[in-house]
Amino acid sequence: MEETKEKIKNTNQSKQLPKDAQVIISILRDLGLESFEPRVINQLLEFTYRYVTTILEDAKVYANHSKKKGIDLEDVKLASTMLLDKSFTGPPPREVLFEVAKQKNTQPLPTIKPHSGIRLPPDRHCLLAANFKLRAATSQAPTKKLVRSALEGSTIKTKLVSSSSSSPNINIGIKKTSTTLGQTTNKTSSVSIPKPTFKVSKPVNKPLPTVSNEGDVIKMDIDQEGSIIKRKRSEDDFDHLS
Amino acid sequence: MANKNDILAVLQVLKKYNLKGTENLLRQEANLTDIPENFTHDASDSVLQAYQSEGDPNSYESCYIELRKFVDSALDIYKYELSMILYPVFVHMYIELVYNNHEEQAKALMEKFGEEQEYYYQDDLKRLAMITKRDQMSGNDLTDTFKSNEFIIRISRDTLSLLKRHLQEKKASVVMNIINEHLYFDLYEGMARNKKQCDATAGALLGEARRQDNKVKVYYGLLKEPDYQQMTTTQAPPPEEDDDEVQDGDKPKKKKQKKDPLFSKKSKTDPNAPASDRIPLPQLRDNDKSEKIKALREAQKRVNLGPDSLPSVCYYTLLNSLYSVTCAEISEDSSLVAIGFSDATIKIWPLTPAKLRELKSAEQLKDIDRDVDDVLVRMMDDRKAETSRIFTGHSGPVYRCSFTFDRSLLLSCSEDSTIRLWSLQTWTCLVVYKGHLNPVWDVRFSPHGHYFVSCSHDKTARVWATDSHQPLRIFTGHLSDVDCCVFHPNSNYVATGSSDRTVRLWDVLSGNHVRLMTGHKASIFSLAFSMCGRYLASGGSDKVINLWDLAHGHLVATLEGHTSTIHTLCFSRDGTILATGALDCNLKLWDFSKLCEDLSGENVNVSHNPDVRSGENYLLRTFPTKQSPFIALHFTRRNLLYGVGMFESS
Repeated sequence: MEETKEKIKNTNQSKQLPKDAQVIISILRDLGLESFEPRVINQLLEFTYRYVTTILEDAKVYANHSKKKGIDLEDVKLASTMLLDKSFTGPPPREVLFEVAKQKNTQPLPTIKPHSGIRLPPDRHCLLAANFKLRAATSQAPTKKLVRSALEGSTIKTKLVSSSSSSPNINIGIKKTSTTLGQTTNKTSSVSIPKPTFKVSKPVNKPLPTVSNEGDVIKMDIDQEGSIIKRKRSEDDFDHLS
Repeated sequence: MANKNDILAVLQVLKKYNLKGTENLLRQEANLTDIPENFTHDASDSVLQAYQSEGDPNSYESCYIELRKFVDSALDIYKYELSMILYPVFVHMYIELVYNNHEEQAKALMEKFGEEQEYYYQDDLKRLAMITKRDQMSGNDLTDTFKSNEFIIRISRDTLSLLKRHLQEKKASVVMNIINEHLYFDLYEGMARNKKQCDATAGALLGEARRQDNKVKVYYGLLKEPDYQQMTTTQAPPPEEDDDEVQDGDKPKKKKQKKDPLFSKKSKTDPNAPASDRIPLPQLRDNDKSEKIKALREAQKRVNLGPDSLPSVCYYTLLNSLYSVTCAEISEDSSLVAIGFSDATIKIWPLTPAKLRELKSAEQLKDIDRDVDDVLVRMMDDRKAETSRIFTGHSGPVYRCSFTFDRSLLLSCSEDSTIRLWSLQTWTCLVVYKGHLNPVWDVRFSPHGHYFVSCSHDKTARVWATDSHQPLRIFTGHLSDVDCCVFHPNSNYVATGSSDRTVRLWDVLSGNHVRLMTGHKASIFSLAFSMCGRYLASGGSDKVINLWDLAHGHLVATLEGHTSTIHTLCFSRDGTILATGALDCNLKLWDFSKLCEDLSGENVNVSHNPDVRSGENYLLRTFPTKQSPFIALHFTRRNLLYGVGMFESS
């Protein structure tokens, strides 16, 4: 009794559902899936639309490249194989795995040296040290005074630069900062700000580098991370003096 | 045999060009006069081309029906073994038809005979049925597996000769081709197996294990425990074994007397145990030794379990977490629990009233005296104690966590294909191990520390050491993703279970697989070694737990009873009880000591398969929770059973 009620409800629903959704439902049924949440259909439809659109766009590009008027079957085939290689990669084939494994497995297991602490890989593979590097202070570059509000508003990652005399007690992190879109670090601006408010994005385990304020000029290199929009905004915010 | 193939290929070419004279001459010279005129043959060596047969597509159906009739009409003693060839022949027929673009016939073949195959092959057949065109075949996992690997069937000599005679009489070229190309018969002497025996080892993606696969000697014994007495008695001369006498006095006198009975048992050298230096193992530091001594002392106080005294169970239920909890793990001394979530966080809670303290900062650490006994307690900052800690860092659901023996490190693996090592003293992430390319399903520390094994969707399991940024060993061989892995108690072997329905045992020293065990009918999700190291229990989606004897890789028992996927198995500390938890919200306790007794009576050798025992005699009790499936089970050192699960409110 309950089953028939559910079936009727389902058929009623499917009468109201658009044709594409019904296609998705029938695909799922073919795969043996009878019960699923309604949002699954939406997500699969979105994926389908995006996938097909991408293929057709790529096919258009290929057709233009070969100076054809319209999209050809070959263009679509090429576009679909390119997308397959790019986004739907599976595990490597067995032969490749066997080769790699044979190479690896013939190396003997390394002996374990007696060591008291936790045994860890070389430092550059660990997350132990700070991941920003300190640069030695260069000569005074043309100054550009930064408005304080600009700094506080945007979430910019800043590099602390202090003169080389105070470097010994600061951890020199080996890893460089993460990739930014088009490094804009060539805009070195030495700024004298009473209290720099900076946000360090990654947590640091060891004690934080001490900021020595005694007369050293703290130069801040603005390292912008993130979207182009952000970069434009902070550029506009600069007050160019001098 | 190879030469004959070449000559046949030449004959084909001659026939194509209608060079009758040359053809006849070649036939006479090569003594091939008995081969029929229209014998089709795959001459090329490329694997894909092997499907290029010129057989008439419409005849495939009749060939299959004919083969099936033959199997059904065979004598009972041969019937069940013969019936095992029906599935692989069917699959390869289908793939051949699809490859040669005979879509209609392929679909008809699948419809007609697909349902007749065994239930455990239906999933694979469904996936195969979706492939209807030749283009879809390239790059597809399943067809690649079938194409490039032979289906292995263990068959007795009598059955094989019967089959060969029949095929030669009937001259069924299609079937014969398929059998020659894609099936491998592992011959054994003796009687043909009955249905039960055939069923027991059937089910894997590519048939059964060959005798060769299980030939290597496996050292399943436990390693010799090191001498702990040397650590405690620093002043007195090293004591003799089995010595209860009081040595020249001093403080350690009393301690020594108490501990002597603990350590005085000299472990006999087990012929089945590997040498202690077979693989490099970390030396025990003072801290480790004191932990082990503590563990031994607690083990003294443990409850002896048996059919008359069942363990008490303490079940931890996670509320409001049905779709977010992905794994749970309890540390070896039962003091911490780590829960992994699908939002990529890991939460740690203490199971004792003690709070989780953090390591003091560097300046504070400089001030404490290092020679004090409780330096390890002093280095923790009491002010920063919390009741729970959260680890963030992964970018995908966390699938498994693993503690070290001394609770200083935690490993976690996730869908983002990385493994992270966290420190439980500074509560931060130490290392990210990158190497897998696909979600990592399981990660386990070795019982001796330092090594850990991980397994992933990329069909490999890898052994790493905490100080290696690359894997030390890569275990390839599974045909589908590897779902679970576990170290043997002697750390020399790793067992893995996979979605290709096989369980493999790998040697850490050489990287080769030493045992291949088939018999599961669905993916395997949980593995556990017995305390003695000789038996391996595996459970999965097929709702049964299989027990394997590692001496030769035979299946010795099948424990049925659960009604849903089994996700966790745990042996009691004294090896007498096996606890199993499944998604059907039941906990079952099985009498493993009785099973061992029954098994020790049999003498097994390589080829003789022992009878598979069923689980009915060994089930002790079933404990149902109301609505909470089990995701973790753990026996404490005193044999109290902990279970962890989520509460399913709907």
